[in-house]
Amino acid sequence: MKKALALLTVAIMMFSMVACGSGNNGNGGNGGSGDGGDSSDPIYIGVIDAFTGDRASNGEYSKEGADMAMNEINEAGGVMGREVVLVYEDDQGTEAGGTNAFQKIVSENDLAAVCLNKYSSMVLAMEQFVAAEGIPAICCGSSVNIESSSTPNLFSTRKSDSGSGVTIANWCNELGLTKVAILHAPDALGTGMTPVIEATFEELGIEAVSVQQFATEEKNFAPYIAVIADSGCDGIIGIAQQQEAGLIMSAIGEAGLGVPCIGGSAFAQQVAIETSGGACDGWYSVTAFSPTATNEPTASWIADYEELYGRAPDMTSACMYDAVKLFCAAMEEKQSTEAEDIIAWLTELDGYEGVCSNYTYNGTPMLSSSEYVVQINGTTSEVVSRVDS
Amino acid sequence: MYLYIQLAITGVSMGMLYALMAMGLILIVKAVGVLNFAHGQLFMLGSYLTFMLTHQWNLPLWGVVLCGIVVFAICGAAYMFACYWPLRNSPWKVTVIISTLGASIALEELVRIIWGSNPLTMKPIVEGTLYIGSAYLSYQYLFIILIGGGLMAFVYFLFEKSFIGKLMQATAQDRYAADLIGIPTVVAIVATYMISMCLSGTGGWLAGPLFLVSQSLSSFAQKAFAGIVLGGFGSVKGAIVGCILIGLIESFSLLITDSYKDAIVFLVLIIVLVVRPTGIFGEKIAEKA
Repeated sequence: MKKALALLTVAIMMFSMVACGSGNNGNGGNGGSGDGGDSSDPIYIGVIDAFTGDRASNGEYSKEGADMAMNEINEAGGVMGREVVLVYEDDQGTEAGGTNAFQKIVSENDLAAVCLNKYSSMVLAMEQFVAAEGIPAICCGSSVNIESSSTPNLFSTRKSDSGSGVTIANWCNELGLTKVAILHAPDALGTGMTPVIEATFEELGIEAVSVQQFATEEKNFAPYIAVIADSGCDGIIGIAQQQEAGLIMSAIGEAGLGVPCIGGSAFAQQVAIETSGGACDGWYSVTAFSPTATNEPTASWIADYEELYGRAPDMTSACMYDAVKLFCAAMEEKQSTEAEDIIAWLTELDGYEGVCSNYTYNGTPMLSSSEYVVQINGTTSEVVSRVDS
Repeated sequence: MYLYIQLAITGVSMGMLYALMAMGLILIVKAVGVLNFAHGQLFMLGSYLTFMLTHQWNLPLWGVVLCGIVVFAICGAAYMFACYWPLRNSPWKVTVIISTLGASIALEELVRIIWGSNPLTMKPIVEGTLYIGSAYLSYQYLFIILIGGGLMAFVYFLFEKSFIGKLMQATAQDRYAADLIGIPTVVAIVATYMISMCLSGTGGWLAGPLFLVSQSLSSFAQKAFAGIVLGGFGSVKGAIVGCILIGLIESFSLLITDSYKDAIVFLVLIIVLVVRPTGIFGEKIAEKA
């Protein structure tokens, strides 16, 4: 009996110790971010992006931007005197990979916040888990479905595709186009932005003479371009992710159509420019970020980035940099790592100056208030116009 | 009219790329009775290897062709000794198929480690575009048709008219009997893998300049599989015709729908299989009681 009582006592003591410990360290992974962690504990922020798979190039830019933000913050003394540590999780560039990565990273680490990638379809797949966890999340996606999301803890460093769609349609009008063909991706980006462009075209009196949605993982764009060329269009709009964007520019260049071409943000990204084989020259793009932006603090940041990594930043680098900085600013301002405090700070945003944009909360998750119209010249994009809303 | 010409040319050239992969697949199936699920990755590997020869080693075209054949042959032999040979006598026949599935993942990761995850650009082998009326035909597409046709003729003569081809066919039909009459079956199997890799690698070389050198090139295998089934499983002639049909259907389906292009391809495949379950050139094989 005494032996049983002794064992019970030891068990209760052990249970109490574990229970006390879990208050600081969460569920066994990296502990100490939230829940009033010890002042010497690091603050953990998760970063989910594609580090393997077809979209791994995006993950590289993303990691560079996030690392740069983390290093700057830590060199300046951290947040509330605590070191900021980024925890990376690979989503493999797929929706299933994204949901798995999110569940894994939040279950294995005591994160204060999490940064998600720029692929809207994947962000939307993760949304229900983001809502269930209640952890503050900033993505780089721009889908109209993210814009209309009612998840209170989900934000984006981008403008919505609906806003970009209007800018693209207005730019077609600016160029004097009257019959425009649209070639778009089958994902949330393409299917979300295309109806907005078509609706704006109606208001502007521009005819969409051919609207082509290419197949998932399409590589051969020559037949689509043949159909578009046959439509008698005087301009082409391309909406796609960066790898497809390079192939589309290459296929249109090969066709020698000689009409003005306008693309979504992916068309001005380095991967698309590099893979277009020089066919990107002259393309316009409506993008959240330009590596040739001359406004401050963006221009200085670009110079620092180039010095650090030996290459120009991409939109993804800038968005991820801003996402980490926003979280850290929120925690510093609120002197708290609690989710509700970070979310409250983000919903109070008014003109926060980032490298990608100025951020203002306007009642939707889309925090960005500006974007650029750029024209690709050789291998760089020159800012033609900055559109603020 | 010009639109139809353009769609036909791009359709046939895509079909040729699928056919190069499909021929290699069928040769391996005939030689060892195993469906190689890493064939798309061998196609992709071919693209990366030729990128290395052209853009990293800066070899001239003739050098790329000669070195390419040697490198592809070595890779084919290495692949055979890594994925097939150690498992050939396994009592569980699926073992080799599973090893090819594993190889497909390993090959993708290997190229990612060596060449990185960014897609790479490759200069066209033949630069320029031919304009016929409002139709534009990239010389690269025409070059694919030319080289693809040439390789198909080469495989036909190799297997049907040459002594080596007959040895390989004998090994494929009955390895035990071939062993008994003194045919070096190991050599015949290795040679089949080498030729198969050469065909797929050449396909990768031809596809790289048009579709970028990236890991996603391996997705072409889906259409090659569809072409093989459409043409009749086990028939090289059927695989070629099936793949060209797949390329044409894929191209012309854009005139009906853009979004469901691939759905049309596989709908046609299903219809053909319902009407003729053995495929176009397939023959019914009755099992003896």
